[in-house]
Amino acid sequence: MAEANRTVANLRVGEKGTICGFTDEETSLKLLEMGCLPGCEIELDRKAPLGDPICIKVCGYTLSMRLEEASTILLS
Amino acid sequence: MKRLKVALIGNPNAGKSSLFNYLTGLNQKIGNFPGVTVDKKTGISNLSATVQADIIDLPGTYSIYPRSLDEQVVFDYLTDVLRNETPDILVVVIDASNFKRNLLLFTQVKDLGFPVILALNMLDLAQKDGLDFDLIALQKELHVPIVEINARTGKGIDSLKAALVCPVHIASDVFYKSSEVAQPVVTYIRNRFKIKSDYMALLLAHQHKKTKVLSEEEKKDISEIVDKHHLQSNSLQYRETLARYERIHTIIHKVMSEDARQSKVRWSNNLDRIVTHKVWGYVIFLAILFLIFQSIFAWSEMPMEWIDSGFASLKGFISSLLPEGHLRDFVNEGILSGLQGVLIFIPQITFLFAFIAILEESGYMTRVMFMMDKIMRPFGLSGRSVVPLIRRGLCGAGYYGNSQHRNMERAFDYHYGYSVNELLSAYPCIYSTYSINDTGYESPWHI
Repeated sequence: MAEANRTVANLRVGEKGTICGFTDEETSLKLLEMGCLPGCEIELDRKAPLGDPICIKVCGYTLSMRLEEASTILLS
Repeated sequence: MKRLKVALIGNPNAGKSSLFNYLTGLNQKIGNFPGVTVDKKTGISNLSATVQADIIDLPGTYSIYPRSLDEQVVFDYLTDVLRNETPDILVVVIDASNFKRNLLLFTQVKDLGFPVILALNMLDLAQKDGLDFDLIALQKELHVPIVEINARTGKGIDSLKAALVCPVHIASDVFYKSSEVAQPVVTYIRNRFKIKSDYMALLLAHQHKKTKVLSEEEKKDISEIVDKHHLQSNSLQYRETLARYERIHTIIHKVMSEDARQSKVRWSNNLDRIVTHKVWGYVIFLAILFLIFQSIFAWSEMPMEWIDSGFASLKGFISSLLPEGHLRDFVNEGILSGLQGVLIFIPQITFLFAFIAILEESGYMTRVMFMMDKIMRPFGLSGRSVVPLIRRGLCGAGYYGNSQHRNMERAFDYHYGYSVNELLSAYPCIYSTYSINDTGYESPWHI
């Protein structure tokens, strides 16, 4: 079942995943508006030098967010 | 002469401000929206020989649902129609290279029932990324006038002006129809406030607690009806955004073709790898700061000497013209010395502002935000607050390095105060969860 709780924060650089849900309601609204939709492919593009924030590729552009936010995006 | 009210709205970095500059030229005024430190830019544009327009540049926003101070301003402006006259036309500026995400805001604005014109910007960038648009099909899908513009070069501005002069037909179809659950609430609010569109009523139901447009009594009434029908604001919003994106997907499918050319992306990726590198990233950042300090002090020395010696010879000339006395002292020591004390800093300020503009416009500053976010966090700040800190630091350095010049104090105080304001205005985002934008980039390199 560990696989079911995989989030964007667990991705390694260059690794891809498919969004399947969110854990935080408020954050999810913002993420949806920014194009992070369930079913969308998401790729971890790079991490900041200190490991946080991270930069992801989604919906044809790159978006940066903190790990705290990334961990609310569930991957299938 | 006819006078229109036009508002520009769009995502951050969609090119609204450049378009605003092209439309208004030097006819602009910068103030604040009432009660908040959010810049309000207004200006006048001559659309044709007989029509003028008051243009307002609204802050950038990703969605009509406000999640920050800037976005609240946009929401309040649009819902202000309850009280005041509406904008005659809304121009939605869309970044074609980020079409899908930009279209979300467009569908929301369109559903509010305003006359809308779509200004499609950055088509050249989109084409470089391998995106091709069928504009005729797009016009059919969206039912609004579409004008292709380039806000960097000014291409298409005349067509936009021409489109603004023509009356815009408001198509009655909507992109998103509010769900059955919300319908009684929507009907109530529509009747109570005599609102033309369902969506405006739905927005008020969602946002009634935060908006400034409603009185306390009206807020209470809306709260009651919302509670009575058990409206779950968050889950409704969630479903709305999903439904809108679904519509957008079908539209995009019809109007856009993608052919993936990756060369540009790879090049910019390599650049990112270097400037946000664990070691080199910070080294480069410090080197750039050093270069700017150096330029402010060393490079501007020579032009400053020219100004000094220019004034010295001018004073000498005045001395040879006027006899010794009060008049000569007044001209030389009063007027000329005063001017000299201010003008002497033009070279330094020019270098400073030129460098800051280059750093911000090229997209480097967003990489700095990305690198600095974690370092700023213990202080309760976000990566974004690095920018005002850098500005402030550079200005401060300019000031301390020249503290013998008292006039400098005032010039820099002005900028210093401005920076501190900006730092504070960045502050509220820290406490909200939505730092997604404040950590830095979301924008490509602009070089």
